[in-house]
Amino acid sequence: MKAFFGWLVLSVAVLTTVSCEKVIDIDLNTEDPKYVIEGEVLAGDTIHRVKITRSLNFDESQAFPTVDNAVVTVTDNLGNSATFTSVGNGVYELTGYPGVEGRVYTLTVVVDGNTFVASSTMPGMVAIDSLYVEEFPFGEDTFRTLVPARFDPPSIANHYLLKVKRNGVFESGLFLQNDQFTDGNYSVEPLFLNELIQGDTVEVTMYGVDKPVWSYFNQLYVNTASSATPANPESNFSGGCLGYFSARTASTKSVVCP
Amino acid sequence: MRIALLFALIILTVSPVFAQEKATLSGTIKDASSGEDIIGAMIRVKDPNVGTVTNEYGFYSISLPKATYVVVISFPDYKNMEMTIDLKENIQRDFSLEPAYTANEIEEVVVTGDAPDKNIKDPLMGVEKLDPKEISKLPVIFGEKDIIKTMQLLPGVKNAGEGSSGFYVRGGGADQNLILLDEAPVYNASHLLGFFSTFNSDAIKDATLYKGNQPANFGGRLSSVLDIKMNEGNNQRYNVSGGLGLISSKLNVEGPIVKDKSSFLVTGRRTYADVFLKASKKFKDNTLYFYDLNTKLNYKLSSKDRLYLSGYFGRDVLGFGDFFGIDWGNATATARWNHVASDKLFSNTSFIYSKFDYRIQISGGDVDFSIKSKIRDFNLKQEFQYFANTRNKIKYGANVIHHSITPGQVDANAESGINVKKFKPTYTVESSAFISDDWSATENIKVNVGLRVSNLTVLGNGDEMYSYNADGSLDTTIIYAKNKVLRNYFYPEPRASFSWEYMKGSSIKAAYSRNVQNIQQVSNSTSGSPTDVWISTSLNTKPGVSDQVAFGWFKNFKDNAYELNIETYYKTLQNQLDYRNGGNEQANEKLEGELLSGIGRAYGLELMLKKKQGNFTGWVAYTLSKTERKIDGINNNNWYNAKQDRTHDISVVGIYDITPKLSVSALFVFYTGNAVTFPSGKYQIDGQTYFIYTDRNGYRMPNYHRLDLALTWYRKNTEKFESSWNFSVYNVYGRENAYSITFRENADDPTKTEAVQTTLFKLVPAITYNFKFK
Repeated sequence: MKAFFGWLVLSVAVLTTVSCEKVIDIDLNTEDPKYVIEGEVLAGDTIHRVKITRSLNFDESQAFPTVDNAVVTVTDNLGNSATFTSVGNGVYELTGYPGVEGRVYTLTVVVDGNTFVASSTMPGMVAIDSLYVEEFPFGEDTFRTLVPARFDPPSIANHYLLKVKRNGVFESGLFLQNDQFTDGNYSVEPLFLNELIQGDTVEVTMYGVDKPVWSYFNQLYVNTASSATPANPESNFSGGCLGYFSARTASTKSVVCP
Repeated sequence: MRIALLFALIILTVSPVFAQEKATLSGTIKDASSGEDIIGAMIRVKDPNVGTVTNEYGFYSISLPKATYVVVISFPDYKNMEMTIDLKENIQRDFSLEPAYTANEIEEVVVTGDAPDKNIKDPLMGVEKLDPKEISKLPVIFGEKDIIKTMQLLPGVKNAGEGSSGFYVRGGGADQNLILLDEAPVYNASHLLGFFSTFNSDAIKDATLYKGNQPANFGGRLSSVLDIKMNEGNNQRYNVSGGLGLISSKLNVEGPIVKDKSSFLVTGRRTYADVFLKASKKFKDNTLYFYDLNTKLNYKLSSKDRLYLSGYFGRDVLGFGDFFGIDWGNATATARWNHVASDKLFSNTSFIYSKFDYRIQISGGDVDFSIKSKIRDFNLKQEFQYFANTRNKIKYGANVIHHSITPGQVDANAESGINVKKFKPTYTVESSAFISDDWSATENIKVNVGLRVSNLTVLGNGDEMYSYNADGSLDTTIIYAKNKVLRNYFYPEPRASFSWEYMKGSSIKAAYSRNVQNIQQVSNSTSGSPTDVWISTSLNTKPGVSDQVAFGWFKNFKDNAYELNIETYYKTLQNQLDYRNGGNEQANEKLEGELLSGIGRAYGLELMLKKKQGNFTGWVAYTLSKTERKIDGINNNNWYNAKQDRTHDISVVGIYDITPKLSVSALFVFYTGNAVTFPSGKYQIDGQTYFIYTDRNGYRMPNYHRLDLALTWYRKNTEKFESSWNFSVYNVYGRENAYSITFRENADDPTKTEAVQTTLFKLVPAITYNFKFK
């Protein structure tokens, strides 16, 4: 429901007619590097991935350092456990461990004497029923939105995280939806992409995530959308690292913009 | 019962105990040319040298031993009136003061409408009075004169950002200012993203700001009261006046309905930026405008009764083609009945309606969807002013407000897949009673002491009400019957202020006051948005409470031509609300679970040097201050700077009348940048760079400064018509002040991150034409 903030975008557009921007130097504090863990366990018999990197100071310009010496294990609430294998470049993979909807997964990462633990519940599967482009004439332009339509299950709070690939390239920005207004309905909530044009091939993957993971990404989103007081999102990991662990379902569809 | 007892006690102690027989002179004082009541006009007798001033309705009452007196009536910019009155019995007498300048002369700018040494003698502290005439010569952005923007140039008052009409008083939040328009609270006092205030200065008669140590008749907000009174309308002759500006135009019509008895006033304003948008092909489907309408009627029912009806209606409309629109606005209505119950007792009964609402509309394809939110008050107020004797002026009264707050109501068509959510409004009743005494203990020592008691009653609304666990998750859901009393929050709010004029023209003052706020606003945006949520004290949230002490030294020089006011204050705040990290605030019925509560403190030193007379007038205002918050769950539970914390804040204002028809003015401001949160590190999630934040508000925006200039040129001035031109330039030397600083990846090299400063206004010229048909 981030569309509500669209009016802010409009007002910013009005203001930019008088405003100007420039890059400035600011002396910012430094911070000890922190571990950053992005962990995912997907529904079904597929490849699960965990990525571990480190943070940088604001003024450091280099690639984010990767961490390849961690021990990464996962266990579910029935006691089934498995260990991830490092495949290099900070990535750890696990196969032959089918993710099951409704189970609670716990990820444990041990690295350089630190232990980070997080749990996440895998929600029930919700699939994209159909993906289509809607057009609205606006002045001389045509304004297009992308609709990942779905049947939202009733009486359950559903949270969705969407990734969009346009012509093979991931769109930057965060796409978050939930069923606060659409619980139990056929949801046609649109995604707003920058200037979608005819012939664009768009692929949308919709992940069903639990509420703590959604809140984590929502805070990241709020920080980027000019919040008065940005704050670090609350990680579900204990032990003082950054990042999240998400047990999730995924559904993918693609469409060519007509 | 307790209150009645206390009241009786005060009346007894202040009643004159000597037996000398007295008589009372009472009545109203008004402007002879327009018939408008004069607020704060002085009426004095020469021997003994005692006097009083008219109240907010122009009424005065003075009781003296039976004798013959020489009475002097005065008000700045009016001709003094002197007469001999044989006070053998109670006399009711109305006076009309002639303006000091005839219609053919130029109206002189006055810096204050008060007695020249009011700052010394008045026991109240932290009071600033603004005359709308005073601001008309000052430069202002887009040439849109605005009483709130001029107020931001006073010590202890800070703007909520470049060009913003939001303000912070002594470290309090923007929602902690009680803004009253003819007694009706205005919930959202700004238009168009905060760049304009809702107050059309052509309709304003008088504005007074109390910076926290307000007398007991005001209550409901922690930081300040901005008491704005609308013009009544000329009851002698018709006037049509107006102004043409770059952004908006205004029209003002006033006149008598029955001469000397009743009058009306209608003032309207509308912006026309949307006309320019229409001219551009790219933006022609956009909508962007606001309008205001002020109306007032007053009717003299008898020599003792007067009825006032006033109303305000304003709305902002913003739209993006057919598929997105938002509009918001205030509506207020006030009906007041003044009754002179006796020579000494003045009564005012008010019924007030106040509403603020917003509506967001989204439609496109099959989807049609809207969110509406509303806050509505019904307010009944009874106030008495008892002019006991020349030493005591007692005010007492009671007030009941019924608040109804409707959080986001969602309405949608069936095809949208969106559920219709019709939450019932939440109901609370805020009741209060107060008594205060303005007591001249001796010739030189003056005291204002008062007590306000307030109670908030939380009522059931027949819908689900929630309670929450410490982490904000839902604990219980209970449905209470409508209007069932669920809880009461009772608070006594003592107020006291004191002044001692230890030598002529010099005084020291001290004040303490407690304020309680039951309707609070939570905001997550930098400059405030119309969709920021108002919430009432409830089963989950407690009222905000502030305690403020202040001390001051006041000195006037050169026969009151110069005024130096120095004040310090220390304020503590309780039950201050903020959002949890990652909170979801839109149309969320479980919003209270997303809130955290904490404490705050603010302290500072304020200096004001004013020159009030001569061709050159103006002031220098300096504020040194600190304001902090401490909220469990934010900044590791440590104290942090509030976003409005600014260490230094300086304003210099000068107006020079070159000739009676030509004046120039200049305005310079400098302030420390606001406290902000900047990143100290960065990391990557899903291939995108995000930032790590350490201390909340641990950094500062760059220092802000700018100079504005204006020239006002009065043209024709005849019996029937007058006009003037105003030219102004905002930010003359084109300082690139930071409106915001954001952080992003470098477009060419994604491993590099950079800070980007956005500047809004560099050198903005403006021109305004004002006219008046008489």
